[in-house]
Amino acid sequence: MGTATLGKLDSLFWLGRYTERVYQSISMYREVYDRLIDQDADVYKQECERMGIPDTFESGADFAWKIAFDTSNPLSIISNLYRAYDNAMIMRDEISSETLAYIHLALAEMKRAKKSEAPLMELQNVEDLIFAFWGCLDDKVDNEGVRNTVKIGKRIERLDILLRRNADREDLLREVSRLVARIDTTELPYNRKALLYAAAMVEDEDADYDDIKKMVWDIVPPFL
Amino acid sequence: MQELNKHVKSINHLLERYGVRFGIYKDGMFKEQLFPFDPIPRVIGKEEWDGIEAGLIQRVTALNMFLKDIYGEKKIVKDGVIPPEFIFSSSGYLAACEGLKTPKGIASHISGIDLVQGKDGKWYILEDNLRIPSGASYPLIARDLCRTASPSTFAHIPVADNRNYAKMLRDTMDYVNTGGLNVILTPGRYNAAFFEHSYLAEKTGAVLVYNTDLTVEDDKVYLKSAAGNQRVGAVYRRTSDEYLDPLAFRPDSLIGVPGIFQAMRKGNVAIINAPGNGVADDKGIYYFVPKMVEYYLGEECKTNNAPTYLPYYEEDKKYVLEHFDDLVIKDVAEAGGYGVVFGNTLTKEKKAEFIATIKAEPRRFIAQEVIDFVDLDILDEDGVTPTPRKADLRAYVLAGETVRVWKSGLTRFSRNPDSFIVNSSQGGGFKDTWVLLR
Amino acid sequence: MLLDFRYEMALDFSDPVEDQYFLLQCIPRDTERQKLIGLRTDVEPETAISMDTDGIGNRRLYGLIRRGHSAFRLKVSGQVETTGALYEEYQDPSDVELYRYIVPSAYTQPGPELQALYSEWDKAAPEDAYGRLIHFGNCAKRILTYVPGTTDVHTTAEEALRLGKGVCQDFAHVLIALLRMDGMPARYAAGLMRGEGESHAWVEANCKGYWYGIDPTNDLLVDDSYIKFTHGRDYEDCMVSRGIFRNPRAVQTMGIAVSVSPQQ
Repeated sequence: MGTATLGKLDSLFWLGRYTERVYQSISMYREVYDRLIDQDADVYKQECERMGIPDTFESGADFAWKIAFDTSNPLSIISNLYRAYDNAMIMRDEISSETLAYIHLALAEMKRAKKSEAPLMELQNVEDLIFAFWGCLDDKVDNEGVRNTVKIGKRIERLDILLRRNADREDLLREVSRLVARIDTTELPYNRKALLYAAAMVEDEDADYDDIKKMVWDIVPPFL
Repeated sequence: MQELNKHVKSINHLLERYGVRFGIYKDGMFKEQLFPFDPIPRVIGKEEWDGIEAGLIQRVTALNMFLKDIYGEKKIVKDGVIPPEFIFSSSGYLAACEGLKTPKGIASHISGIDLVQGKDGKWYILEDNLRIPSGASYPLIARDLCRTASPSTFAHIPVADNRNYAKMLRDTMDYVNTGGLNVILTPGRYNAAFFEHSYLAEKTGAVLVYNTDLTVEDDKVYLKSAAGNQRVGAVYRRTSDEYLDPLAFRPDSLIGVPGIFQAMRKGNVAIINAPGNGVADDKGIYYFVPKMVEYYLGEECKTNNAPTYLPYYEEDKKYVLEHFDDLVIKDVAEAGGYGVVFGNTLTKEKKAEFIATIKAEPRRFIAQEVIDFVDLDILDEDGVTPTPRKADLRAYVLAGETVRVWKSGLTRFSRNPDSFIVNSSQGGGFKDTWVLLR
Repeated sequence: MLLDFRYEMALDFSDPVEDQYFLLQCIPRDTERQKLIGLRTDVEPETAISMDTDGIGNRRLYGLIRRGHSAFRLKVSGQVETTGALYEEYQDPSDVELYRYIVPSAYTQPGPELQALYSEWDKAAPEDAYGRLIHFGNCAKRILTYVPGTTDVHTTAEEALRLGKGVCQDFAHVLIALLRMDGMPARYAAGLMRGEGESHAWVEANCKGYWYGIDPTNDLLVDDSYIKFTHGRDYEDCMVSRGIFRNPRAVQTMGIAVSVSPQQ
């Protein structure tokens, strides 16, 4: 990509991570929200535990609202979308106004969801818009390095989430091989040793998920 | 034309979609807000525009000659056309620029000239902005969106396409480029005009950079890309002079590029616009622009200044004090609509105080006749009723191989019915500006 | 007189810094009063040094140290032949460039204190220009007390006057402001003086075309024991050193050592 600075690579990488995080969070949210409607009122407690966050919520409804829309909670979906937006808007010249527009629209839709009585409707639109963003990026941006840096961010984020969710080894293997295939097409500084270790650990039946997770974090360490 | 009004909703939707925003600081917090857009365009006929265009080309040509002269021989001062005090006491005069030779001899590459139309039909120049005039991106993107929202409007009215601005800007950068990349240097994400910086980078293909992305070595500027250092030949910087380089200007600047000024002095990079231009767009120097045109070009000045008085001259001071209530007084050191006082709005005490200041520091002020300018209609909040508002026009003049005027411009209006102040930082909105082809 | 001079700067950083840019204006100008004969520069860590002259004739040296380092040493030394002439070059009083030194500058903008001081001293001032220069030249020494540490590089003439205290920079700014109020072109001069352990600042005023040097801090006329680095409108044009480095955590400690002595 030639003219990309480390700062730009960092923003593109995190743009990938945050968009993926928002997308994944919405699908998880949908399940929990559905159960909270008429079934298990305490389901949110298990959810807190699984996410490793303190249970500071008053009720299932309180949890449902805050985890999606509380801008003061850094873990909320809206906070992650804002972070995606922050990284996207400074990349306008690389990803184009056309592509960036989907993030603007997703944020506008998220704000509508916040006021909605049936937020899953608008959240569905947010999800669609994130897909559109990725699609537009793929289609409209000529620079392969730019596209792939965002994708590396997505892959790392997806791996991290799969590990947190105790996903099957097969899913992990698929993600790791995608990552290995793509990572050298960008100028993103990364730790090759950590990548190879992580790949080996995923294949090793006895490797502990927490250990793999730490190794995955080391693949693209902070470089700014 | 009225057709566009019907599409105001679609247009606003598109503005939101593309994030057409500017930043403001309110109560110490940074906020981004939409720049209010009014769909009723300002329309300028072909003949009228031809007159404006010829005047602006002449004016900017003279201003560039002035800048070259001032930081060199200073002939215009030696020949007694402009008193030397006005040069050396201007806050925009930078001693560091003495002897500076800019690539291709151009100092003001992008000039934003503010005009108003008087009720007499004549256009008057309000001020010249030769440092880092902003705003071109707004009518540029707005036109694109209006064409999307209401194609039939543009099928029926012969409006000059204004979407060549990026090409014009790029031509200018390429022309003065000393060899290397074109970059746009932004002070950062929290700058009021960040949208514009990133949008113009996208549209011109220049690389958007922050100060820390650039480095200077052996008096040459480089972009520190992940793939290695790459030579930079032109920097369209949106950082003001005083913060541009801590080794040349404010030593405490943290948003500057150390050494960039020396690289320019050595002829190794073009800085767009050149530092030191403030001496030519100073409100005190404004008075002398028609004289500059005559002096450098030997032509009669085609643009009209608003009738202006300099209390520096005894005769003018007398006039200003006698007609205080009819005049608008401007502090030459202020910008952005600040430091502007209408004589008739002051209380007795304030007036006496103000007059004392003028007497003590006559060089600090200029006084102008209040031009009764044409109001433009804007759509009221109901989206239906046209309501008159004060409005000005910023025309963009680009100097490269030739001096060209962009066939459009930024029409700003005041949202407050009683206000003359149209600056976006004070809540104004904008309109598209149509130049008709026939 | 043949003078040996030396200007040494030592910077120590609490934490290693990278990309240190430095620019110093500590090379004597050539004037009718002084001529630079020999010059030597040593810098540590080693790096290339560039030299240049700015638009108003002041010399500067500058350079860059990329790699990390915790200490910086720069030594500039050389010989200057001083003539002991009473004045610097002649500049025609009708030269428009002189207005650069007549209009107030950032540090010398008069406020109420300066205005009051000027009207008081104006009353007893003699008629002739040179007499007035000497008259106002005496003034700062009587009004200000020399106390290091009470003012800093941002202090204006007006502020120093309000405090009643200052160092050579403030003395010079006050005198410049007074002379300009009197309509006489006056400029700031920075350099070294025999017998002082630090860099010095004084004033030059254009009297009937001749630039005279006057040292308000010591109440002396400038003679062959002064070496001038730069002149300009005020401190801002004559800052001896500028610099910037990368590492926001690092705290910088600066030491300056200078000396001027007649060659044996």
